Amino acid sequence: METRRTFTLAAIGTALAAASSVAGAALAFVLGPLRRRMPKQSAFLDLGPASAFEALHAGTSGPEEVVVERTVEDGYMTRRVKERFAVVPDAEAATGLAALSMTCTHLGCGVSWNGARKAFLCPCHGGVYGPGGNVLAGPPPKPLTRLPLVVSGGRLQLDTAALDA
Amino acid sequence: MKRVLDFLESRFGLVSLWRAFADEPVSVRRAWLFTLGSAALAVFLVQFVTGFALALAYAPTPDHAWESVKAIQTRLFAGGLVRGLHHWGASAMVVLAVAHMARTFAFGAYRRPRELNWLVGLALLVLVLGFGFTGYLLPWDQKAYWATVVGTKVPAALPFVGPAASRLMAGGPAVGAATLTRFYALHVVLLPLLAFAFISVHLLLLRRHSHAGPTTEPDPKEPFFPFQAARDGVVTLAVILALFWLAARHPAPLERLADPTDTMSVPRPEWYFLPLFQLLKYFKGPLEPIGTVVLPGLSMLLLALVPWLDRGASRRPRDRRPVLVFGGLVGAGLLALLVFGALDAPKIKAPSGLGGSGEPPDPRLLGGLASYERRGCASCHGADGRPAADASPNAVGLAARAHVLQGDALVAHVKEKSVKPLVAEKEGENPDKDVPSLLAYVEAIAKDGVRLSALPEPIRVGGAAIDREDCRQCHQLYGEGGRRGPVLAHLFGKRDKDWLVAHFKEPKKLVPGSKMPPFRFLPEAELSAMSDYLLAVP
Repeated sequence: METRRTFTLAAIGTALAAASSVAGAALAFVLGPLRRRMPKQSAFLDLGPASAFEALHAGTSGPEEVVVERTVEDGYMTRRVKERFAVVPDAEAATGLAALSMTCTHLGCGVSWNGARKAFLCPCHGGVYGPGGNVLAGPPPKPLTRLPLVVSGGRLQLDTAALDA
Repeated sequence: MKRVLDFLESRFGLVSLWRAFADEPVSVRRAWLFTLGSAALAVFLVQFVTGFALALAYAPTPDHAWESVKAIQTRLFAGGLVRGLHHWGASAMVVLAVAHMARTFAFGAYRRPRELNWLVGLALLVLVLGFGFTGYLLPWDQKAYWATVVGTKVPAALPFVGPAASRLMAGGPAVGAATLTRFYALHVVLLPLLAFAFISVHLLLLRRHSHAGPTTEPDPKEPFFPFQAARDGVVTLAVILALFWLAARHPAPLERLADPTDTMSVPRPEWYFLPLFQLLKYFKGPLEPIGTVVLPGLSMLLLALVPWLDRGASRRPRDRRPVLVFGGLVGAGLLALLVFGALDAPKIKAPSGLGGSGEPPDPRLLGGLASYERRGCASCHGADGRPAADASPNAVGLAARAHVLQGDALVAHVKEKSVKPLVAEKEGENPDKDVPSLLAYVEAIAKDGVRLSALPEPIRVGGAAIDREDCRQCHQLYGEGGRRGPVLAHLFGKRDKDWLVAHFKEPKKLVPGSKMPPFRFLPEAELSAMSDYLLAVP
């Protein structure tokens, strides 16, 4: 009887091992995206001549919206993605300007500037941000992501090191 | 025939299997209420068949998904009908599954010995919602993209596992190519297999314990076939006819191609996710997981435990008042969230004078339209390429044609046939400068059947002027153009018409240091139309 029991257990064990090795291989593949492949790198994206943003310093206009395009790794391909930023005055920055990501920190919808209310509004769940990106109302957990800007050769450039690869 | 049946019976037991199924005694009273499950099953099969058909022409990549769905909807034979059935079938699936469940709940049919089948049914409801969530990303239009951005960010607020869960759902840091293949694989491989397995168990358990029937004794019975089968058939037929009617009358929508930089179209999920979407608005900051996970999770858990929480002997409503009141409150709450969610849609108003028609077409097309009119193309081809009913027999329609002249052949045709530009062009300018825009417009008529000639005048005139003056040399508009000047988007709310007109005339006066040349030489009406156009651009 002892051998029969041992044989049964061995058979079950072998079947489980075979099944879980295949399932494990597939699972590893499914969990692949948890690994970060692209190391974070600092890249500067051109936003145009610095002089185009002078009205911001003077405070005569609202935030200036810019769309930048960069390459991201996306599954089996690399893709050009466009992202929106608002260039706003920033007293603490050397350039006097900073860029705010126009992606809502709540659930990722795109915010837009409302000139009448002088605020960034999120259309999804009613988030409201002030001109500096601070949360004024609604569910957003933190202010709009602020990215540093540099001026190089008279051109305003966005430092993308802080963006998620 | 008899010999075939005998053979099947002896080898497979098919006849006795059918008899056991057909002769099953079912309740006579309230019998129509017991057709909901069969109708849900029928719609599931509709989804399977139409889904298979759609998968034949669908390409799950960001570069081709939208295009392939558009081809299914507009060009492929019966594509619009099949996609319409699948689209409306998804909503019918949710409605029938929830109604079936509400009936089971109201009758207390989950009681011993049917607890397990209640759980299987709950799992099927989750699968139905999973089908919905993974399915509406696939067209890769604006709604698909933004609803999935929100959907995949929802778990991110959870402590510890949140970011990883969000990343796994999206297949990477953001919604993109990997998300599309993931959702596609779930939608067409894993979920259907699970659904078939759970449906089989659901039916097996139903046959094992038979129908619970209505709540009071005595309970007269009749065999399932032909009586209940006929009722099931009638309801199923009605549902399928309704789906055909909806598919024919209200084609499945396809919004613009997904554009992560476009925020003008307000992200809205499908109606059956609106209660959850609405819930997200009430829980702020660190409380967010309560709305996203805790409340939905608790409700599911409570539903799963119902058979063990409500376990008296009598199933009569008056003996189960607390349970029924509780169930009614939950149902009313969901309904209220659905209604609030539907009413709470943020309204982004189109500027007045636009007739509320939303975003204007690309300026190149409007430039092409102006050129089409100026060159007298309409005298043969009709307005928007559609000759009038009383046009001469020589008239050639352009709309929805597989082949129109292209490239050099079309340029030659235009130069030969068209009336020369009537409006004096600027000195030293190429008189055929408008031809590329004209070609783009003709191609849009032939391929997409656009109709632009009925647009409000300011939009037509303004768009054409923007095209003619080549604003895109320096400005990006609809994602195309130079970077020297600011992007021309989202101006509404930021600038007004007077400001824009004044700025056209003398940019430096309003924006110190501006490099933009003044456009004083344009007529006032055109400057005003250009402002109208720009304010309407999302």
